[in-house]
Parts: sequence; C-alpha cells; structure tokens
Amino acid sequence: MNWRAVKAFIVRDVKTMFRDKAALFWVVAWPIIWILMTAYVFVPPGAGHVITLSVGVVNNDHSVAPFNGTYLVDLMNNTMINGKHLFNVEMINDSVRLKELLLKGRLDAGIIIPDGFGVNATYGTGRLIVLIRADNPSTKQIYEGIITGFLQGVSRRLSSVKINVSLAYISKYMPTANATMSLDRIKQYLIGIAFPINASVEEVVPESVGSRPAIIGWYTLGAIGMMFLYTGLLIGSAMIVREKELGTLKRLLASPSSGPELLIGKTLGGIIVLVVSALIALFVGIGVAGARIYWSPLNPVDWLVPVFMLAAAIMSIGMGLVLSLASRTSKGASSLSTALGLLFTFTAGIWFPKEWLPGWMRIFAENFPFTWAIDGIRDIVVYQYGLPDILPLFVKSVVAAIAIFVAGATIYRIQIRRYAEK
Amino acid sequence: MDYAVIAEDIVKTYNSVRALDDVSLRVPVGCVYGLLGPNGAGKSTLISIIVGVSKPDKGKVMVLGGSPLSPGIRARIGFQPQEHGLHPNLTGWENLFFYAGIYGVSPRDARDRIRELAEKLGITGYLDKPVRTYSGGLRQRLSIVAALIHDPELIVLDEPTTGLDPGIRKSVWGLIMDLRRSGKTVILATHYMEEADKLSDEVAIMDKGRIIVSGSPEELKSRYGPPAVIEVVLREQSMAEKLESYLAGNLGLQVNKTGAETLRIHCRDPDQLVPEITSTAYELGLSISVLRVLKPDLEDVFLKLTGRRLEG
Ligand SMILES: Nc1ncnc2c1ncn2[C@@H]1O[C@H](COP(=O)(O)OP(=O)(O)OP(=O)(O)O)[C@@H](O)[C@H]1O
Ligand SMILES: [Mg+2]
Repeated sequence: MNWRAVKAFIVRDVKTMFRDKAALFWVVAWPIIWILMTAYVFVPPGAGHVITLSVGVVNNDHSVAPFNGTYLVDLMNNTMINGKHLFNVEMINDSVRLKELLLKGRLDAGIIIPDGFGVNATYGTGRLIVLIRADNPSTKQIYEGIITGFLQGVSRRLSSVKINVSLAYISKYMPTANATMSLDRIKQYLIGIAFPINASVEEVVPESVGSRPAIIGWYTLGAIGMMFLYTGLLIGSAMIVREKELGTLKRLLASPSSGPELLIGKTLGGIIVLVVSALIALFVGIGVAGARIYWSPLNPVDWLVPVFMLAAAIMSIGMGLVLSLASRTSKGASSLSTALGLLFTFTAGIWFPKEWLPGWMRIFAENFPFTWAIDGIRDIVVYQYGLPDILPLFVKSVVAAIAIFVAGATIYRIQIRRYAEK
Repeated sequence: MDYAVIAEDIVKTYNSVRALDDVSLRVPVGCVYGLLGPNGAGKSTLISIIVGVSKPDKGKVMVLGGSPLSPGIRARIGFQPQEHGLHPNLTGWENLFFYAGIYGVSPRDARDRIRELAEKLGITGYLDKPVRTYSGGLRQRLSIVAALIHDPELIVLDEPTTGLDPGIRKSVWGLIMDLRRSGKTVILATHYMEEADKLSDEVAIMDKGRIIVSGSPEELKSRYGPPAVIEVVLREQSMAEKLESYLAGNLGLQVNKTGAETLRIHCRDPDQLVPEITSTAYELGLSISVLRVLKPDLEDVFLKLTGRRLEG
C-alpha cells in the first residue's frame, strides 16, 4: 500500500469537502440547525421543570363547616413544589363561562365545587366536578395526573382529621370493659381504611436524562448520528461516480494507486470529514445548546466512544458503497442518500427514540447495526454504562462495521472492474 | 529493437460500436509515436487500453515489458486523458500535489518538478488559483504537467494541444521534443496532421477503429501521397465549385475542398497541370487569388486512403 497516495486522497477529499457549499450544509450547517432547533423547540427551556396549571374554579359552596370550598381554593393557592406554585387559580362565576375558557384554551383545567361540598366532605363524601382540557392527549394525561394527585392528597388529610375525631369520640363514650379490640388497634384499623396501601413513589430517572441538558445531550448525539447517515451514505454512494463526473477517475485508474489506496484513502477522507463535523456538532451542542455529555479521558470505558464513532462512520460509508450500485450520477446518489436518511430519521431509533415507535418498527430499530453504534455512544456518555454492560453492544457494532465495509468494498471492486470492462 | 508498447489484435466493443477492430501496434522505445485520426477513430479507446484503464475484449497488450494493470508498470507511465481530470475546487498546486501523492512522489521532488514543467509551459503564475477559474488552454497545460510529475518513461498524451492557441501549442511541442531528447517514449493522439507530421518518428493513421497504415511520416507521404498537390484559392465560393466539378468531372482528378474557396488537387505532374488550370479558369471566367504547388502531407495520405478529410 502506497501511504503517500492514501494521504493524497485524504488531503484532497477533506479540502474539497469543506470547500463545497452543498457538502458543508450537510456536514456542518445541518447538524447545528438540527441541534439548536431541538434544544429550543423540542426541549424548550421549561422542560423538566414543575408545571403550573391554570385552573378555573367555580365555587358554589356556602357550607359552614371546618372544611369547605373556600378552604380547598386556599389549599390550591398555597401548594408549592420546589418553590413553584402548582396551580394558578382563577375564580370563575359560573360553569358555562368555565367551559368556554377551557374550550378557548385559556385554562388547563377547571373545578366546579357544588353547594354543600363542605358539609359533605366534612361529614361524609364531598363531590367535585373536574374538567380537563383534552385537546392534546399527552398534556391531558399530565393535567389529569396533577389534579387527581392533588385531590388525593387533600382526601388523605381529611381522612386523618376524621380518624382523629372518631377516635376521640370512641375513647370518650365507648365502654371499654368488654372490648376485644384495643384503642390502638382500632386506630390502626381506621387508618388502614383511609390508606389501605401506602405506596411510596420514587422516580427512577437516570440522573443524566432527567434534566434538559441531558435530553439535549441525547438529541445532540442523535443529530450526529443522522448527519453520519446522510453524509456517510452520500460519501459512499458517490465515491466512484463523483470521480467519474470530475473526469479524475480515468487518471486514477491509470495510476498505480487504483486499488486499495483509492478505497482506503477516500474512506479515511470521509471518516475525517464526519468526525470533524461530529466534533463541531458536539461543540455546538455542549457550548451553545447546553447539552450535558459525560466524557472523561481518565475513564477507560469512555475511550470506546471514539471507536463506536469510527464504527458508525465506517458503517454509513460502507452502506453508501452498497448503494453506489444504484447511483448512476452524483445527483442520483445524493437523492438516494437523502431519501434513505429521511426514512432512517423516523425508523432507526437514532433521532426519534425507539420507545416512540410502534412495535413492528422497533424490530428494525433494534436490529439496525448503525443504531447499535449510536446507542453504544449514548449508553456511555448519557447513561454512564460500565464496561461489562457495554461490551456486547461494542462487539456487535465492531463486527457489523467490518462486515458492512467488506460488503461495500466488494461492491466497490465490482464497480471498478465493470468500469474497465465497459 | 526494444518496444515500449506491443499491442496485438486488440478488439474493443461498446454496446454495438466496434471502437477498436483488430488493432496491432509496436511503439519503439525512445520515439514519439503519433496516433492520427478523425473524431471517433478509436484513439482514446486504444490509449485507455495501453494505460490500463480499460481491458480489451480480445487481444494482448504489453507495456514496458509488463501488464499495464500492474502497479509497478503503471508507476512508469504518465497519462494525460482527453478530459483533463483536474478538480475544479483545488488550485493548480493542490491538483499537482495530489497526483504527485498518487504516484508516490515526495512533496519536495514534486515541487521542483512542477516549477520546472510549469515554467516550460508558461503557467507558473496561475498555479495558486483554483482550476475552476482556468481557461481551457490553462487546464490543458496543467493536465500535461500532472502527467509528467513522476518523471515517467512512457508518456501517453491524448490530444494535448486541442483548442490551444498557436503560440501555446508551440510550447507544448517544444516540451514533447524535450521529452524525446531525454530518451522518453511518447504516444501522442491527435487529429492535427501537422502535429503528427512535425513531432512523430512514427505515425499510425487510424480510422473507424482500425490502423489503416503506419510508418514514419516521410515514408507514408512518399508511399501513399500523390507526387504533388496544387492548392487553388478562388475569389468566390461558386467559382471554387465550378472549377472543382470541371477538374474532377472532365479531367478525372482527385479534388478536395479544404475551405469555402480553397481546392486541393492531387496530381502527378504539376508542370503540366498548372497551365491547364489557369487556362480553364480563364475560359470559365473564374478568378484565382492564390495558386501554389505543395508537397503532400499526412492529410493527403488520409484523403488518398479514405476519400475523406481528416480535420472536419
Ligand atoms: N464509453 C463509451 N461508450 C460507448 N461508446 C464509446 C465510448 N467511448 C468511445 N465510444 C465510441 O467508440 C468509438 C471510438 O471512440 P474514441 O473516443 O476512442 O475515438 P477518438 O479517436 O478518441 O475520438 P476523438 O477525437 O473524438 O477523441 C466512437 O464511435 C465512440 O463513439
Ligand atoms: Mg479521443
């Protein structure tokens, strides 16, 4: 192998790639736009924070009781989570108006408190009517969850009060001589009726994905993955046809470097372009969009990340080489890569999380080797996997990268031979 | 005798077109070998087989004692394809350094060699500019430099002077003569008979995928050319047409129109024919602007053998 020739290909391809405006768009502008748009549109700055619900309340309750409508509204006004109000309460005169505001989207939810609520809640069961804005299925669930959660909390407090009142009454007036149940036992029993199950809910979110910076980190890697796919496919599929169009292929095929040097040189040139663009995208993701990515040169596992990246680049270029069979012109190659890239955006689990995909599509995302490599990077820099956890994916990715590239190289050799015989 | 290229019974077909139809040739080491032929004759096809870019359907090629497909042989061949093969977004220097790398030439050697060649072809001042800003002639010359960057033994040039101004063409010719003087073998495809005539030690005249004759230009001219050629330029085109039909019809001479008012007449004995032409012109009322007797050239050889003109 003539390494001087390999270097010549690398230098030329990297130079011309960064001088070509269309290519620059894909390798630099596109991931940057993608990351910034995602950071501000998809994961708005409020994401991950406590939501404040706008709730309209129609209070028809005139009960004179320790607990009543007014008391409930006060509770709503004073409920804070992490220093933030959970509700922004707006008093509304009648239920017709309340519905009107919900339909207009001015309120997230509404509560109608009927007359007698206070008396009923204090001495029996108080009825409430809750209205939830349901134009968006996912926010509907969130709003509903918040309100029912709040009302359950209130119910529990009411139960506690009622238990204490009942116990006080029992200990004062019930004869204890023949009782088989102790007072303590009765107390426990009543508490059990009020709180049959005390589930302690604990949120289990990897520290790293719970926050906006981590989500942006996840998407920054997604953008890099997509850029690799779009550009790598193009680099591979246009590798020969582009030289043909430039008129350089004849010269190269007449040279002593027409064999492995051409393939290796151009592939390495492509990899360098991809890696440089990935670094630019990471820089923008971390520096501008505020992505949080864990990577430390002192952690040995983190050094698998560049290898995963290399595997991803080789896979995308290798798949492009296979596509070159169907690319007669560089324009054709570009359209084909863009079309496939677009398809993969939705199906590969690189940009849209796998969990969003319907079951049958997930089969593809889970078995698409390129996704393995990107997942591997995410597992390390987002989820902070250790070596034993990452090893299977690592081996799979490396083997797949080699296999795909060998397939691409075979197609490449067939194409070159076909050119000489044509 | 040592041969730089030996090709035997080469056949190459594109779809249904027989681009090369049983072509054989031997190029002696150290000579300039012209491939002369009109458009579509098969020159580029033959060259692409010699340099190993394409494989013949039939036949054998030996270049510098080996196969043109082997990297070792290729490293000793310099090839200037008809279509430049330069990257538009790179400068002249960058393009040349690229090809230097491809041929394994060190940057230092490449720099010296580029300076020398660029100087000879007068393109030194343009090497810093991107090739997309180059004129056709500049590209052509840069492309020739790229073919010579690794100091090859066999240099294959496919129409190196097509589209060049006469002055620049002369500098390319000078370079080819320098190469020959330093012992290199040059294969030169051209459709300019003057170029083939002036530079070649040996010429193969190609037409329709075949080599119709080969030999030294002098040999070809004396063997296939007429003893003499009379060129007549008349004042008007209609006059030229009248004279042509008279000479061809009544005297049975081979007459060719090489310009709107120009006739080229092959003859055996100009001393007898010149007075006849002048008197005929006088009788027919045609006025002659120029009349001269010339030696035959390769164009006449081609005409004689194919009945067609070389340069369209
Ligand atoms: N790639 C190709 N596909 C199909 N036909 C081809 C191809 N290359 C050449 N030909 C045909 O083969 C014949 C010889 O072409 P070639 O290019 O060798 O001629 P040439 O002498 O170099 O002509 P020119 O002076 O135009 O360069 C022509 O009829 C041409 O149309
Ligand atoms: Mg040609």
